Amino acid sequence: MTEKELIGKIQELRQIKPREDWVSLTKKEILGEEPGFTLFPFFKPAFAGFIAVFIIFGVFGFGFVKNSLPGDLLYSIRKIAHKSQAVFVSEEEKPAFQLKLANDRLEDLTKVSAKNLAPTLNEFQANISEAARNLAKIEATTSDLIIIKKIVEETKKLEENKQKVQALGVVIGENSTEELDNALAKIVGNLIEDLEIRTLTGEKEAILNEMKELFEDGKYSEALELYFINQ
Amino acid sequence: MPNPQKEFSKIYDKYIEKIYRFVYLKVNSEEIAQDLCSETFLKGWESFKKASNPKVRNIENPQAFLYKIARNLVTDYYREKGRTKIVSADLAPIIDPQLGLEERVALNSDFEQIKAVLVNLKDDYQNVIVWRYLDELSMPEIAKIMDKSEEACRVMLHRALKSLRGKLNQTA
Repeated sequence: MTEKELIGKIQELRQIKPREDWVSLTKKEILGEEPGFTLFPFFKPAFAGFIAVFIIFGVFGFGFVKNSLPGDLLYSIRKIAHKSQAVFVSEEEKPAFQLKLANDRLEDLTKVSAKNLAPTLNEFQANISEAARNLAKIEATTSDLIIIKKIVEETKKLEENKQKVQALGVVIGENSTEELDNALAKIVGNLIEDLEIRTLTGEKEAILNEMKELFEDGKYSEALELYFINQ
Repeated sequence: MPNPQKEFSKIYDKYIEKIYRFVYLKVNSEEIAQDLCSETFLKGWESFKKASNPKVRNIENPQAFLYKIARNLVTDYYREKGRTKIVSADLAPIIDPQLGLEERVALNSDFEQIKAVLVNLKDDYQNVIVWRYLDELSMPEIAKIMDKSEEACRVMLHRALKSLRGKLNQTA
């Protein structure tokens, strides 16, 4: 075998390559996605994207985008708008924000055509998962009551919307909100534990017992509401 | 003012494939190669961030720096886990088990053969062959990474090729 042939064989090992999805995911994990501050953001590709979105908004009209549904071409723009909004939402407010998005998707479900049904359900599920993930990070015992209030409101609305959608014959999987329920259960469980170690008045003791009953019945949002209105 | 994130992003894009291949040929597993490779770039990024501070010494050669981190991580991997780099006597094909059936079939016998032989070469021999013929680094660049003279690297490359050819002949 000549040296050239040998080198040719060695160079076949260039076939060893990392997977593209792993490469981009690892890069995001290491470097994050936050752009650095610059005095001239309009030279950045990301900013060009915003300009493009802005122009598209102008051309097609805000209404088209706002009323677009998952599965529609314009929905991706609406989704970018959601993501942009999420950037400005604090960590504590994120669960309520994601729950609001989930509620919006449920409202979308009342007006979707068959073609949009599956993508809307998927979006709903993604919002619920995101809300559950954010909820898991919340330390309810030290959280601002306004945060708890928003979570309670959105969770209640979620139940109402779910019933409305189901009344229209749209089947939402039984386990669709399981992740959310688990996250809420953890929050309520923590609150109950916290209350148990405190010295409570007779009235508060009764509320705690009622919270425990609701917890055992799996009515976590109701238990959370009870906690909130009695603070 | 330079943006370190943007600069390191370019470094990542330029070297990720090379570092991955370099690590993969040492650990012969996609999963472990991914772990060690991402750790290499994470460490690289942390050092790069520090080095972008004008008060700290700059990283002159990111490529050499990344290879150095990768080599240390591979060494640590074998040391910490008590693993021994097994040199197989029969040079059985060692295709990553994570590769799918189609990918396995697509690999021709030359590829399998050269890979099996290269993986079993002495570490320095393997490095010098990879850097010279896969990454196409110049001798001065290799010398810098290996912290040896160019002449010493040339001799090592010559011996590495000789060893590789000998092992290939044994399998033929």
